[in-house]
Amino acid sequence: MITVSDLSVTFGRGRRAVPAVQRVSFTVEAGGLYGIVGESGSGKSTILNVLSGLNRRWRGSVTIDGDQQALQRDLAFHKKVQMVFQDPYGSLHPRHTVDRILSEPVAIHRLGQSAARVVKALEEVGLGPEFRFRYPHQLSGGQRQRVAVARALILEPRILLLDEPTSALDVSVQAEVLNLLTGLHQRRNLTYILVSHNLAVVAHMCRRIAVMNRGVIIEELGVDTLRNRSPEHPYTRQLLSASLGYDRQAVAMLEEFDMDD
Amino acid sequence: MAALLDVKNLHVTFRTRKETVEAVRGVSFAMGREKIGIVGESGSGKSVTCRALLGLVRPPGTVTADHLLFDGVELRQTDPRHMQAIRGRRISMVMQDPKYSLNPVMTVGDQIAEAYRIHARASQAEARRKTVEMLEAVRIRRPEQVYDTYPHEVSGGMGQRIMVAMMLIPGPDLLIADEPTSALDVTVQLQLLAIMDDLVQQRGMGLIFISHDLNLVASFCDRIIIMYAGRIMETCNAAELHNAQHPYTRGLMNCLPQIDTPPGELPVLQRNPAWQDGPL
Repeated sequence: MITVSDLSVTFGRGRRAVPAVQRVSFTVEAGGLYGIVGESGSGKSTILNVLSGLNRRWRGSVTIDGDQQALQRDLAFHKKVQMVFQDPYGSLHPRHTVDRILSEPVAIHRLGQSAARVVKALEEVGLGPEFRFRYPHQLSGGQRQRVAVARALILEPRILLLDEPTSALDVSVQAEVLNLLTGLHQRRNLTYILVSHNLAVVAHMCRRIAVMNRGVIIEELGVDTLRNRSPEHPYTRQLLSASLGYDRQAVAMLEEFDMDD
Repeated sequence: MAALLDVKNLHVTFRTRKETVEAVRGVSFAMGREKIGIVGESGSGKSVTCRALLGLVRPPGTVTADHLLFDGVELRQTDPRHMQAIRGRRISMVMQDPKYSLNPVMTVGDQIAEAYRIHARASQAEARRKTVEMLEAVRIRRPEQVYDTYPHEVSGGMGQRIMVAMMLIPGPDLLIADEPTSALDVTVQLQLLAIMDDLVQQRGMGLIFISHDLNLVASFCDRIIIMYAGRIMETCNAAELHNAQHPYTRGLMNCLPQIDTPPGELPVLQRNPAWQDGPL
């Protein structure tokens, strides 16, 4: 479904150039649940921005559903690929009602039957029709993230790109949103790429996981390898042990990982 | 042994024209020189509780309590001038995001030195020497160079270490850390916790660690207070968290995805309205 090969992204030029993503390759099959995990600055969100067409300065090759992607994407692409962002407080227009937020993609793609689609999309994310004419500030964080998911789903895409979809939410709300995403994946046969810094969230949601550090995928592993706590790369092992909680002895053993070595 | 901090029946209320919000409703706890964690979701009143201790709740917020004893001193009746002497000198607080708590137009070294000079009346040279020592204590390499940098030039993890240095330089007895590591990467987060852990132990201080991360608090603190809707639901020893009784605590634990449990539906936390008002 998605094939990325030799993808590189550099921010800035000349001496101040920052290589954010360096020669990254991976494949996600149709209906797959692919996770990208890494610390801040590792390049994981940059990859999603390239896939979704938000970042237009990259090198390499991206093939989605058999089509080689150019820098500029067309309308049909955006109907197929949708993205959900991290911060539901920042990704919804504060002066637009839920109805207007959800109708906009319908209008852009000239799908028609806006009202029916809005109600259906709301229902699909577990919100009743009473939410249709509310403003974002009248919703809780979890409800807003549901609206953001509904906005992505209303075009009936086949691929959802999820950029830290629960990291701004409380743990109890996170559980609800993760359950929603799991349910949608099963019902709609979607393909997911989930980016997160939280190893437990990625392990819960995904089958295959890429671990990134400083713009490079240092290891790609199946979720079972993670569950058995037997990843190969020392960086992954360190990330895993750090995710399990505070241990004074373990902290003394932490190392800096610089992939230039 | 008298407790370092003894809070009895603390209430914090925000009254506006439209509504009255009771952010903290009858919180009582006592602590010694130990690491205590306050865990709760957003809006549970964990931060407001600590701001009330430091006298940082501004009008229209009002604070009432049967008593707020710090080392035998009643904090509620302390006049603003004495409160200044306690705040920073004896109780200090590290906030969540160093980007907003550091002064952007002052070098980090001068900011730390200022914190020292306000409380210790030292010469400039003495304050600089102490500051460099403190930067070393929070494991900043090349402290002399870092002294002269501005906050925007340092990373998030380093900024937070600078905050810890600034808060510890007056030698307080109690450190309150309000989600000090939530904005940091996991490994950086653990390193900062280790620094706080070591310093708190060496200096025999008390630490209140506020967090929404139950697992982290359980592995870091001695005791845990679990808050919901402005009230304490349960207090337990960190080592015995898995035996916690309260359904809210159990719900919080269960709804976390775990690395080694197979996927499936996560149990969703069912909130019981009785928790808001019922007896504890």
